[in-house]
Amino acid sequence: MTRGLDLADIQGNIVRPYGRFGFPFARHFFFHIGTPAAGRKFVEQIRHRITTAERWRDTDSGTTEESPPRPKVTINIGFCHQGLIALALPTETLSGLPEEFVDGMEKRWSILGDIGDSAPGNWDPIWCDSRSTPEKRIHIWVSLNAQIEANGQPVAELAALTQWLYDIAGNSGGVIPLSGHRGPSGDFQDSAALMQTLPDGRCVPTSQIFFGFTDGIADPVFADQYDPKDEPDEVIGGGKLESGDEGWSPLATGEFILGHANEAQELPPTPQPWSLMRNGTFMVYRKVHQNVDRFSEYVLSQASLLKQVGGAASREEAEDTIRAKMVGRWPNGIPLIAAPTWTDAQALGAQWKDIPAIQLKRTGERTDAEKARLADYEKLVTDFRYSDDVSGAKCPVSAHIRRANPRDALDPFFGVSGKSPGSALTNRRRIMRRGLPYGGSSPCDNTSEHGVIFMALCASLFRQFEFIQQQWIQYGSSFNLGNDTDPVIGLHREGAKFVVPADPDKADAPFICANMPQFVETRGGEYFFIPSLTALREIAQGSVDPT
Amino acid sequence: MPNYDAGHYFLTALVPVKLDSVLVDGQSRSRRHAIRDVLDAAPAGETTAGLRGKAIPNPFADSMRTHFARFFVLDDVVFNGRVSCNSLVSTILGIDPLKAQPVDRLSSPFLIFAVDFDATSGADTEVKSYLVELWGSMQVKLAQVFQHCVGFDSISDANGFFDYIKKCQIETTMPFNDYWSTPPKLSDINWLAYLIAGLAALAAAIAGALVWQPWLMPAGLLALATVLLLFIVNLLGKAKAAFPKSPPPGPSSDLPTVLKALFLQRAFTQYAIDAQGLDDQAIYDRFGAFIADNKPQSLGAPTQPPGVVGT
Repeated sequence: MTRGLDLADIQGNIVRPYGRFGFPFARHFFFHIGTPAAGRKFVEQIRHRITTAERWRDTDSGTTEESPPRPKVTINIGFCHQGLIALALPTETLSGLPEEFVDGMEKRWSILGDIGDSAPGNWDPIWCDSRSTPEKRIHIWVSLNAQIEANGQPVAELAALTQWLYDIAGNSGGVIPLSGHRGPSGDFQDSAALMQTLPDGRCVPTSQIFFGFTDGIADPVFADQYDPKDEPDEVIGGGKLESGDEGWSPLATGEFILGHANEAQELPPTPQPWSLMRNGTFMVYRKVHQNVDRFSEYVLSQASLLKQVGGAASREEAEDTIRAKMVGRWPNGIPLIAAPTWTDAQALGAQWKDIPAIQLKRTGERTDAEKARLADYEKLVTDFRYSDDVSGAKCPVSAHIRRANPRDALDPFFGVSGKSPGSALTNRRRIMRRGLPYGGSSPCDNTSEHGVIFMALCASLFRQFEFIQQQWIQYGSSFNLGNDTDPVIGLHREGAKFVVPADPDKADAPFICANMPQFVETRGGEYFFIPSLTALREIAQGSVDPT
Repeated sequence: MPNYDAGHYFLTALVPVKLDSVLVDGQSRSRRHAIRDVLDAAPAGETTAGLRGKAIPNPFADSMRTHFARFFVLDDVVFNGRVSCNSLVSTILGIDPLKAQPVDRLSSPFLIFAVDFDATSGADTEVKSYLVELWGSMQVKLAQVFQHCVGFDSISDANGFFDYIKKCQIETTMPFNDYWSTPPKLSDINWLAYLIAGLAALAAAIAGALVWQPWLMPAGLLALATVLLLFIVNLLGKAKAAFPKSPPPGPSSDLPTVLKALFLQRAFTQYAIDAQGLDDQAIYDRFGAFIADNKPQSLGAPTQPPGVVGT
């Protein structure tokens, strides 16, 4: 038997996007550690119930009798740098952690583009209190991900575990739950997939977000993340592209989990002790408010202009086209590379019109033919490269998905005929996204609560998450786009624009979406270390020893 | 690589800083301290869009020739530690590892002045005209910096300033020419011909050795050496030819052209945005107005002033 990942030592949220695995409801808690002893006691009580990355015997392939069953609610934990200080970890360990993690998200505002309405001073009270009041400083993040009942509500175990968390905090003698989230319950931050009610009354989760896009389609895939039987399918669109026509292969594990070789054929630098860092990783937690009304109004205004200049025959086509060009996918998730025009997208949609019904079925209910059909569809939405579209006439160079994951577009031989470029320069800038929408869909004005709890996991917050955010989302130089920022999630200063290139071989003019308002605002966030089960034991027992 | 490259002069001067102290606000300060105090207080100008219209302009922005200018203080050379030696070799040579080696120091700190400006050649007259212009526009500010440097006290006019900088100039060995957009034309070398000739010579030499023809082996080796020599001479010649001593100016790379291009790029983007949805006649008429208003053929107004973020 070959040696894969030690899944029982790795927290489950690192390896699994819970939303896709039947846990469409997430509840986030933040705690303050009053004394190191209380912090250790809290960790000691919670560590035995942490959900690991082990495969579940009732749902996954490659499992054995001993594999754990799928839980009703998952539990995961992380610590920010202040939290590790509060746990009184040794100075040698604390001082060796990466600078951006030591800084925390708030101090990185200029890199992340958190200015204006996104500035830390405008974040939810829990974050403002954390900054101003030492005894309200955020130290621990705990997340519960729950399965749902047929009525769309989380299972009852969620409420029980919520109470249990408060109980163990109370027992610890100094760990305090923090409150101050905007929204219906300030004590914790709920988020959940947007639901769809079926004719039989059953509520099922969708992968839509408030802006009307399908989210979470192409997440990176690393070596040993999936069972060898599932890997060939999963790796398509999510792995890396070698130069030449060798197709997709998984990214190096060390891009996402510490203690393993990364894409530069190095071990990610970590402080001592080795046992504390190995099989852990770093996580971004970021609450992003979406100005849905403002976005819809802007799309409408641009759609009418697009129709006026002859870029679309109908109002519906114009609106869908503007949305699709901004994000790089049609609202149903089909990429522009596969269907460059609205007519193409309609035709493809008709060709795959059985897919939504198959997606709504539970995995066990799908026939083999349906499974094959779904696999082919997933290949359609993820298996593409930008070599066929150097000018961006199909998918604009500035489109959100092309910026966030440029695939082969940064290869030195990109656009050179006779070459088959790879994704080497992109492989070091990938993040695993875990996130769900929060808040209600009505009303959708700027004063109500709705957006995305964005989470990202990677071995280096600086090299991966912050680089993408600063260079690819908030700037355009890597793509010869000057100062243009991401049309959806970028910072839109006065005069912000988004260029939809035209085919250089045709006489069409490019279309420019001008004077874009701000569509998203940061409402809080922090960087957390997600330790292994070994590290949690060491923290709980106070035995972290760098010597 | 020379000081001058394709329309830009890359001036680098290492100016020794005085070793005495100076009174600053009644306090005795080292010259290194005082010079950094002046440099840190110099206005950076508009460095971000957020400072548009609010920043005190940088004095170099008065010049229509300056691309990049940089001052910094070099305190000393960095000590890299002992010169290491294989322990067996040092034992044989009798080197005592416990005896301290000398630590290299510069004789004084240096103020480094590095500036990249438009020039038509690498001649001193170009450096002089630039420095004279600089002295004319920012004499007081230059003196505030250079007063802490050795030998500057006697400088009182533009010619003196040129002579002073000229004395401190070192060759810029690797200029970073930022606007050169096309690669140098490289010519191929006929590898195959040299390879065949070399192999033939080698074969002759080997044949000579095998059949022992007294004349054939040395003749073959001589021919091989000749082929090798010719190859190296040809290679070096072709490599050098790609980098002429006085390359022509880079296309459209002088400051007024760059500024006008930045201005036009923004103006045309706005024109394109405003023209969306108009009929052909309106677009045509507006384009006429765009040309009349912005005068693309002229480097004069309207254009972007130097040292600011475009509006």
